[in-house]
Amino acid sequence: MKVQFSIEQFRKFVYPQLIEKSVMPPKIGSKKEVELFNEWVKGRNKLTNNTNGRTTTGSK
Amino acid sequence: MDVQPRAPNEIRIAASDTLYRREIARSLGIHPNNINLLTTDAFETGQSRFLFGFTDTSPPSDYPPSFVKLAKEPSHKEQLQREVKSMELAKKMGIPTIHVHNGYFESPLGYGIIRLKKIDIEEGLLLANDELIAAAPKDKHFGSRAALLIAASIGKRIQPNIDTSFLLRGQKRLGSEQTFWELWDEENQTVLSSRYDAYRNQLIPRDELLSILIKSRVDLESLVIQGYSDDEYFVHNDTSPSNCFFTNGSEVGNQDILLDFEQAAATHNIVLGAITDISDFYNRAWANPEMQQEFLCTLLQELKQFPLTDRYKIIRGAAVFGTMFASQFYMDDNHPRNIKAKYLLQHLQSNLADFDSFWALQS
Repeated sequence: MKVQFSIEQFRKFVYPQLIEKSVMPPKIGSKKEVELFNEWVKGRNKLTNNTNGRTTTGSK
Repeated sequence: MDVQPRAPNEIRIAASDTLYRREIARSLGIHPNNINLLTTDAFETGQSRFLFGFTDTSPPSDYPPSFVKLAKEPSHKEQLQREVKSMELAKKMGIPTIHVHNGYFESPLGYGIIRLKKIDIEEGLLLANDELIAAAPKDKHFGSRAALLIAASIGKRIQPNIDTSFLLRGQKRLGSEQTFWELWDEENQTVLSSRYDAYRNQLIPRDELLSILIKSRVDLESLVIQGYSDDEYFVHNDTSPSNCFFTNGSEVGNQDILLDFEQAAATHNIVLGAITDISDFYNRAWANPEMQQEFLCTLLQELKQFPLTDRYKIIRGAAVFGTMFASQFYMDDNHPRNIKAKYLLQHLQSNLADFDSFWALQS
């Protein structure tokens, strides 16, 4: 099962977690952002496939 | 030009943003325009205890770009003080962590502020959440690199003549042999409860789990007693993949750093300290069993504070403790984080088998 996720969701869920650890998030549209977004989608798909569609986002 | 009127809430947030930027700028001697606050909304609505921002300095200021954290409430200001003092102590003890530009200080209006070195995501990688942890590729060796970092922070003796009253003390898992085993029993009782039999047995048969628990307890019991000392040891107490910054070009891990010392603690028991920091990382890496395995095996080589056989027992026992400690909260099938308990219990046997094979090669 492949689930579609948007870059806005990625920014909403991941950036606050970077910022609170003193890490400056990637610039919007940068190569690093695309790279991280792709990794995040890969991870979400992996975890979503193991939860019958339930997501884990927002968790630590 | 058609200008949309702003909602009262937006105006209030914008006004607060200006106030905080001015206040920080006044304290640091830089221009408010050089400060970019990123969480004013969450801070103002009480969703976040702290306000976070970055300073981007330009002449005449000679301040390097930095990360700023601000607190308003007295209890949060206290937390901020503890965090930065713990970070400074960690640094002094040789634990690789972030540089503190300014220790805790209060602004003219009484806000608590700290200023740290800014880390740019372009400089490396933070596995900030479960999704990024799950996707972390094996060839980057994040499990090994985290093990190097954590091994370097375990068992650091605290000098008795310095003030460390800001470190947490007396927590159950770090306090004493008695409180540790109480916690061990509590978590095991929950996970082994008959109401979870059907679910848990799909992940790991009850007899197998019981046998793992018995072996770990036997392995750890005498070590926990021997771990006592009149001295105190520093404990990060919140290790996790999301608290390690993996720097680019540092594949051997020598420039990686440990972050977030908000929960830093002290213990008289070096073994309980080690179990705490190993078990936290292990259970928080649940989404990536290969990372967990690599973490455990690298620790077996690197945790040289303990003789090899003791090291094996402590690391193995910590993985078991971490599994049960975290799983107890998520055993309910309807719990939104149930996947964490599922992964941890499902992979416990194979992770321990991998570790035991590695141990057989070392011993």
